[in-house]
Amino acid sequence: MANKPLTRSGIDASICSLLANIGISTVRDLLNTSPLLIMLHADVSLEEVNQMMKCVSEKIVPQPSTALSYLQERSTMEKYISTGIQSLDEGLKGGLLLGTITDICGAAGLGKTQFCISCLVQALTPNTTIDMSQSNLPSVVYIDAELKFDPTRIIEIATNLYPQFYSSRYRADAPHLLDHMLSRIKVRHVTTCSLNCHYCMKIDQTTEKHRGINYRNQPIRIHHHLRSCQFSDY
Amino acid sequence: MIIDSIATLIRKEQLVEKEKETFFLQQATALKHLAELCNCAILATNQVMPVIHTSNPYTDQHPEWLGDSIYDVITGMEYLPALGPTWHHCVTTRLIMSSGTNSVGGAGVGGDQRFLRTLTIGKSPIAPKRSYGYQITAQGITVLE
Repeated sequence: MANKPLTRSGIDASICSLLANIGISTVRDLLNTSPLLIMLHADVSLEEVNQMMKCVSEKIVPQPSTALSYLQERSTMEKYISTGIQSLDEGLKGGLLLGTITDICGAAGLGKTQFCISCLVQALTPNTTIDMSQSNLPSVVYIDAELKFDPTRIIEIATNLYPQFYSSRYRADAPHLLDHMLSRIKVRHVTTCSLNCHYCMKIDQTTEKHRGINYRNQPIRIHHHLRSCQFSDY
Repeated sequence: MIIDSIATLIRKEQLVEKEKETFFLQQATALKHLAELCNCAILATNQVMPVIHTSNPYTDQHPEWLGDSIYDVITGMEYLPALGPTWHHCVTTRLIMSSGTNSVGGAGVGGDQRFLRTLTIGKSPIAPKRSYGYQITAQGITVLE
């Protein structure tokens, strides 16, 4: 945000062009330059320099949030993804918290991967009807380090948990819905943590992120967030 | 995003003790940054490591950072979540799966000792610690009421 150009930070255009001659074009440059230099090159008084500094600082300072705004946001936005297990969702006050890491640990064979698949099916299945023409249906990225990813178990759980969508006995287009669900799971086999980190940073940096990971009903939110980061420097 | 399992990935790095803390923090930072950027939930599976009790209290491994260790009835051993205290602080929510016993049918009827699997909320910013008995069924994980 400190890279915001001076021309969009409330400084007079003539002064901006004078300062640009000595290499001051962003808010950061201005705040890092001594007032004396600015007075000399922009031909302004010390008071005017201080006024300029105050003005640009106010433009870029991040706005604090209050606890009340958080509470109001929470009631309007979904902050959780359901795990598919109702009593666990109640215990967790909603489910898996968005924007955080949830860790599930246990000895071998107790069902950690089954839990993952349960969450996966839940995340990919909307509450009401599925409209496959929508481009903003949620997706899941599955990073498989143990090389044991098996789509047949996903199909079994999906068919038994949501027969109204995925069972041929209830719907003629159930196979299509199953295929569509499976197509929204991006599977990645990685062998080391460094590679995984690299993949995550790649998701971060490329446009794959708003194609690959869409949050249910709010895909535009990702796009907006990125654009707003760009725009705050614009 | 589901990572199965983060413990396997980190262990494959073969780090020495000194490097581990920095490495965990770097991984956690990258994942959290991604989670916040994309507003997605990240679910990572972890493993367990055995607790070795010795008679010497100075080398006894039971740390205070976790509280209760996980007692596994099937093997009779105590376990702690893998990757240690640094990873415990990196994650926001921790769910622990363990196995205990539940006598089905009662002792008088020659009841069948079943191993009941338990899912516990070990760490959460807002949820109190609770346990749920569950089974693995065709529908995935089914919590027993």
